[in-house]
Amino acid sequence: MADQEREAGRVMLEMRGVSKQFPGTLAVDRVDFKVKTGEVHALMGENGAGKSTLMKMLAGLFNDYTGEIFVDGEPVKLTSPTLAKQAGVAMIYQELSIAYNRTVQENVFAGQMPVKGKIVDKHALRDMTIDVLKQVKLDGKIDPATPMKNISQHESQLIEIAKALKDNPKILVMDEPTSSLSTEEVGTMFDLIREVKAKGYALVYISHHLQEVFDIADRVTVLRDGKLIDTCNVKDVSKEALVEMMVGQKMSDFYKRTDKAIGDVVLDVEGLTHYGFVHDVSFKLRKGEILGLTGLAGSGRSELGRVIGGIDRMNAGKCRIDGSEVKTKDMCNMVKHGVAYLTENRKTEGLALRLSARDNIFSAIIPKLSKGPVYLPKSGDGVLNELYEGLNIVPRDKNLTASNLSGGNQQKVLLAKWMATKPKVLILDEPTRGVDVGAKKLIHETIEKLASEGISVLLISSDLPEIVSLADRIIVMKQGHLIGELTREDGFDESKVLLASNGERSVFSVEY
Amino acid sequence: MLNTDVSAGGNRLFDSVKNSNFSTIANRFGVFLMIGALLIVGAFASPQFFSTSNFLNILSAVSILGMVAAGVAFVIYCGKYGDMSVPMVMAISGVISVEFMRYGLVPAICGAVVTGAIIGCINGVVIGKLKVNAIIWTLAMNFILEGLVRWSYQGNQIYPDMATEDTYQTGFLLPIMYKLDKNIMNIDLTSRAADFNGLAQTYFFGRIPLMLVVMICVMIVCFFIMSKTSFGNQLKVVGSNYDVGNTSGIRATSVVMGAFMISSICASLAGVFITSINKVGAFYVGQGYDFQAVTAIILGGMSLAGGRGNIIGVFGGVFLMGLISNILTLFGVGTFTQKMISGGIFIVVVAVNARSLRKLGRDDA
Repeated sequence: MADQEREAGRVMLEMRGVSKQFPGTLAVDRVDFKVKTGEVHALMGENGAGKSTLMKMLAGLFNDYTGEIFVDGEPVKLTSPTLAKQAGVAMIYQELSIAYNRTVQENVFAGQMPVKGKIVDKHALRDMTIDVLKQVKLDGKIDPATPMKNISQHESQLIEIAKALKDNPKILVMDEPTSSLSTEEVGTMFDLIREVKAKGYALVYISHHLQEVFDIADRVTVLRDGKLIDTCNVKDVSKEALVEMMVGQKMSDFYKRTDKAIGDVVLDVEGLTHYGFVHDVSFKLRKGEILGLTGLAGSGRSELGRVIGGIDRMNAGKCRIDGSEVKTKDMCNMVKHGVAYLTENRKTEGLALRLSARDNIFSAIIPKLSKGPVYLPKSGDGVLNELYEGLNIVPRDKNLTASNLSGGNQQKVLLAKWMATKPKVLILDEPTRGVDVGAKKLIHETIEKLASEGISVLLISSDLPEIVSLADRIIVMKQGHLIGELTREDGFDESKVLLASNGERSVFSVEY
Repeated sequence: MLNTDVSAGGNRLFDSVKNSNFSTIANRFGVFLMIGALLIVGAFASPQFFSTSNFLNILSAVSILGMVAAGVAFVIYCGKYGDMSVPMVMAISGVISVEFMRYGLVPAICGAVVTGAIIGCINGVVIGKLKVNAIIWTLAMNFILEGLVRWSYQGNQIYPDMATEDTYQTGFLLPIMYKLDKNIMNIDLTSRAADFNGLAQTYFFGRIPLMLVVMICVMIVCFFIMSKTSFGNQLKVVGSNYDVGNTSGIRATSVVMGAFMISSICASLAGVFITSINKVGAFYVGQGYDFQAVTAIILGGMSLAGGRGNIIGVFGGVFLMGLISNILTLFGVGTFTQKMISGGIFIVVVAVNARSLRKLGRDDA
C-alpha cells in the first residue's frame, strides 16, 4: 500500500450527478457525493430518502444508473458487484452475510481458500485468518476454527469488518453497524472505526442514530426524497439543524384531520412483556383514537403489536378489552375479541400470494361466513364489494391471483382483509410501506375514516409524516421499553418525533 | 438504452402472461385432456375397450387407489407433499379389521377407521404442532408401524378363517380379546370370514362392485369437505402459505392435524377392502400406494406447493392411472414393465408440476 494513496484528505470517491430510476419514482435524483480518505462520512435521511439506493449503486447492484462515479480520480463503471469490488468498494450490510454453520476462517476466506493442489490448506488458512483478525484486535481472542454460530453478534460484526478490510478496499461502507450492539460494544466499534480511519481509509457510515453521527462522523450528507440536501462538517451543525434537513418542510395539509370524539378505553395493556423484545409496557387506547407507536428499528414496536395481536407470546402482563381481560395466546381468540393485526411483512405473512384476492380477504373470516361446518363465501360478497369500492382496489376482478396485483393494491387487499373482520382495535404495522403515493393517500384517508367510525387504531410506523399527521397521540419505544408520550395538545412535529425516537427525553409531554 | 430495456421488459411480461395461461390450463384441465387422448388410444388397443364392463373394470381396479388418493389429497393440499405412512396404515387397519371381524362387519370397519384416526392424529400432532418435516416423519411412522405389525404377528400373515389356539397367542388385540372372553374361540369363523372376504365381492345390480361405490362416496365426501366447508377453506389458506394462515386467526396446527387424520382414515378404509380382496392381513398389502396416490393427485392438477386443485381433478388422476394400466394390459405389457412405466410417469409428472409452477412464478415446489 503506497503511503501516498492513503494520504488523508484526498478525494477517494466522487459520485457526480448520479440518478437511479425505479418504476414510478426517481429514487436518487442527481446526487453529488464525495468521500475523502481519512474521514468518516455519515449518510443520513429518513426511510425512503435514497440512502440505501445510493449505496447499492456504489456496491454495483444496478446496471442502469446514470451519472459518473470516480474512485481515486479514475472514472469507473460500477455495473456489477465484481466491478465494484475491483474498484475498491467494500460493503458491510446491516444483515450480516454469514454462514453460521461454518467456521470463522471459512467465512473470512469464503471463495478464496488457499489450496495445496486440490485440497484446502488448513494451516495457511488459519495463519491468514489470524492475520486478518489482527486488524480488528480479535487475534488471540477468537480461534479461527470456531464455528460462526458460537460467535457473539458484536464479534461477528467485527469479523465482518475484518473480512472487508482483508481485500484492502479504498472505500468502506457500513450500514447501521451498531443497530444490534450494546453501548459498550458500540464504544469498541467506534475505537476500531477511528483506527481504520487513521490508516487512511475512506469510510461511509449510514445511521439513523443522531448521537452516533455526532460521536463518530467528520462530515455528514443528508438526503431527502432522493435529492441531496447538503453536505457539511459535523462540527458546524446542531442536532436540530440536522433533523430539520432530514425532515424538511412538508406539505402540512396533505391529510385532512377531522375533529372527532374520542371515547372510553377499549384496549388496556398493563406490564406487557415479551422476553428479549418488549419489557413492561403499559398503555391505554381509547375508542376512535389513533395512537401512533414509533421508535427506531429494533425498538420492539412491531413485536409489541404482534403480542397484542396474538401472534407472539406474552410472557407477563395483562391485556384488557372493554375492561375484561383476554388471553392473547391464541390469535383466533383475539380476532374474535375484535383485535386485528396487520403485519408489516405483506408478502410473507400478510397475503397468500397464490390465492385470489377474494380468498385472501376472506381468510380471516372463514368461520364467520360459515353456517355450522359449511362455508358460504357468497354471504360475504356484499362486504367484499363494499371493501373493493371503499378502498378502490383495481382491477375489480376479485378472482385475480394476489401476486398479479400491484404493491399498493396488495396492501389495500391486506387492509380489506382485516377491515372485513370488523375489528374494535386495529393494529397497523407499517400500513403504507412500499406503496405508491396514491394508494398511500387512500390508506391514510381510510384510517381516518375508520377512526371516526369508532375503531381504535394502533398505528406502528417509521414514516414520520404519516404518524405525525394521523396520530392523536404518539408513544415512543426504545430498546423494548416505552419511554414517553407526545400529545397533540402539546404539539408534535416530525423533528420532535425523530428526536424522541432517538431517546431525547426533553421533548416528551409525558415521560415514563 | 432505456428504450431497449423497456421493450425487453415488455416482452418478458408478455411471455409470462402467455405462459401462465398455458400453464394454468395445463394445470387445471390437463388430466381431462390426457384422459381424452388415452380414450382415443384405447379405441385402437382393443374392440372391447369401449364396453361398460371394461370401464367398470378400470374403475374397480383403481377403487382402492381412489380411496387412498382422496385422503392423501388433503395432505398435499395443505402443502405437506405426501403421507408416506399410508401403506402401513392400510396394512395395520386391515389386520385390525380381521381381528374385529369376529364381532361382525361393522365392528371390523369401525375398528379399522378408529385405528386410522389414531395414527392420523399422532402424525398431525407431530407435524402440525412440533413442525417436524412431514415426509421424514410419516416415513419413520411407516417403519415403526411395519415393525409393529411384523413383530406382533411374529412375521406370520393373518387369515380371517384361521382359528387355532395359537392364533390367539399372537396379534394386536387378539390375545386381549381372548383373555377377556374365552368364548371368542367358539365364534363361527368360517361364516364370518366369508362375510369379510365377501366385502370385495359384493356387487350392486350384479356388476357394480361395492368398493367402487364406496370409493365414489369417499370422493364425494372429500370433495365436500375440501371445497365447501370452513375447514377446507382454512386448509387452502394454510396450504398456500402457512405463515399467512397462522397470522389470520386460523388455528393452523389443528388444520394440519385434520388433514393428516383424513388421510389416515381414508387409508384405513382402503386397507379393509384390500385385505378383503387378498383374503389375508399382512404388512405388505399397501405397498406402493403412497407414491401411486401422489402421482394420481398431481396428475389431477393439484400442486405440490399446496392450496391448489380439487377432488374432481384427483378423481380424474385416479381414473387416468387406471386407464393407463388398462391400456398397457390390453397391449400385452407385463406387470413389471407397468411398474417401471408408472415410476416414469411419477417422475415426469412431478417434474412438469415443478416446471409449470416456476412458470407461474411459484418456484417453491
